[in-house]
Amino acid sequence: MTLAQAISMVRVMLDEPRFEYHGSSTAANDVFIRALEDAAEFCARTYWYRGEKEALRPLETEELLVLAGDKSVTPSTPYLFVETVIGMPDDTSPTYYARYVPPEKFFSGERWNIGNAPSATRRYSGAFEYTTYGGKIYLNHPTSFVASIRVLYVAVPSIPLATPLGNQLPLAEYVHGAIVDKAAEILYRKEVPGGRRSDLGSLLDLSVLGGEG
Amino acid sequence: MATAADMRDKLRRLLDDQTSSYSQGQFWTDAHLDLALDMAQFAVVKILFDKKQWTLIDGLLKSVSGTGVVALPADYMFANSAEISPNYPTIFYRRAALYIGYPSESWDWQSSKYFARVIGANVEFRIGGLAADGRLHYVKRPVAVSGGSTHTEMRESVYDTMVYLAASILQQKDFGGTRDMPVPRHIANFRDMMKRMSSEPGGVFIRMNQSAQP
Repeated sequence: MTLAQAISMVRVMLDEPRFEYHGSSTAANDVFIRALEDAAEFCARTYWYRGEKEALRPLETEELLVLAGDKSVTPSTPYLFVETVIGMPDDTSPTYYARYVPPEKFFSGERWNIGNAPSATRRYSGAFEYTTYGGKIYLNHPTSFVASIRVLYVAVPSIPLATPLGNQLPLAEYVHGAIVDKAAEILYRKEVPGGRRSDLGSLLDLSVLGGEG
Repeated sequence: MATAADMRDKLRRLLDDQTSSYSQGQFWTDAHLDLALDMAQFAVVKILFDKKQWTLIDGLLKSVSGTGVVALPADYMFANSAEISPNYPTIFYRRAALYIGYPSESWDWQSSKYFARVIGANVEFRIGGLAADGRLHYVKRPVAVSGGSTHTEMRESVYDTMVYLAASILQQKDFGGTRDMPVPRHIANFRDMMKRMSSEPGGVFIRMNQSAQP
């Protein structure tokens, strides 16, 4: 579904096809694009937690990052979920798969200060580990072993305001309906305070429609 | 055979948008109807696939075969299952594990001997670390509802049912104007029809198999 089609359907679902409330200007389109972007991120998170990887395939990104002694790196595209971090000493040596550690454990001092030798008060697992926090990837690597990393991650779905209206929505095509539905709900809630009087937001939720929700 | 024109007509009747030639098309345009039918179609296909109601969508089930890295067809929507033929050129397929993966992921940790991996625009067939002959079963993208399109990929009842979902999408426009008033809930009809449809075709399939028994 193209961005233009998505905006058109959101307008219909909001009873807004004649441009009475939001108008028909570029600025009005921006309102819908922002809502669609938020809805796409919501759907991406939903499908991630459901294990629906096929829906996220268009967002899967792979990037090689040179560490240069750094203990943290920032991927060029913001990540939603980091799936795998592979450490590489050079092009020919075997690679190391890093183990994920939650940030609260990672920053507790046991792993982060890897430059300091293990002691009675500072334990060290010996494994190559990473965590994700604040848009960065933190590593406990000894730099002599890992010169660069390859990060496999699901990128944040992004729809810049200048996106041509003929472009496709992010995520796989079969979940575009759910994105439109969610975007309509976001804008509906903005417009109508108080109780929920609409089916928006759950109309095209596949797990609800399929009777599993 | 379902046609776009039939579905649009049924949809307008459900939405009570048939009262006069003057008003018809003023409230919902044909383009809106087509988009809603398309949204409904994708949702229904995914639900029926997840519920393993494959006999209802058999026109969408396709496969692509080849050796090693094979390009995904242009109509690929999502993967179903994969098979590997270990003794190529003797064609004897065995079930393979199927992964959705990244190019740099190692093959080493895969637990299965026979597996296929969908990566970007390709699918890779492997036995261990070696390229192999394989076959990927996938669900193709359904024909879009527009203009004078005709639809034969799914059972007639599926198209009948998805019209109710499209109606409940377009009905939101009515909700917008009459938020405090009770309006018909086509979504309830849709759920009922899906439930009924899901309980039937499996039975048909079993009966077909049983009739083949001596």
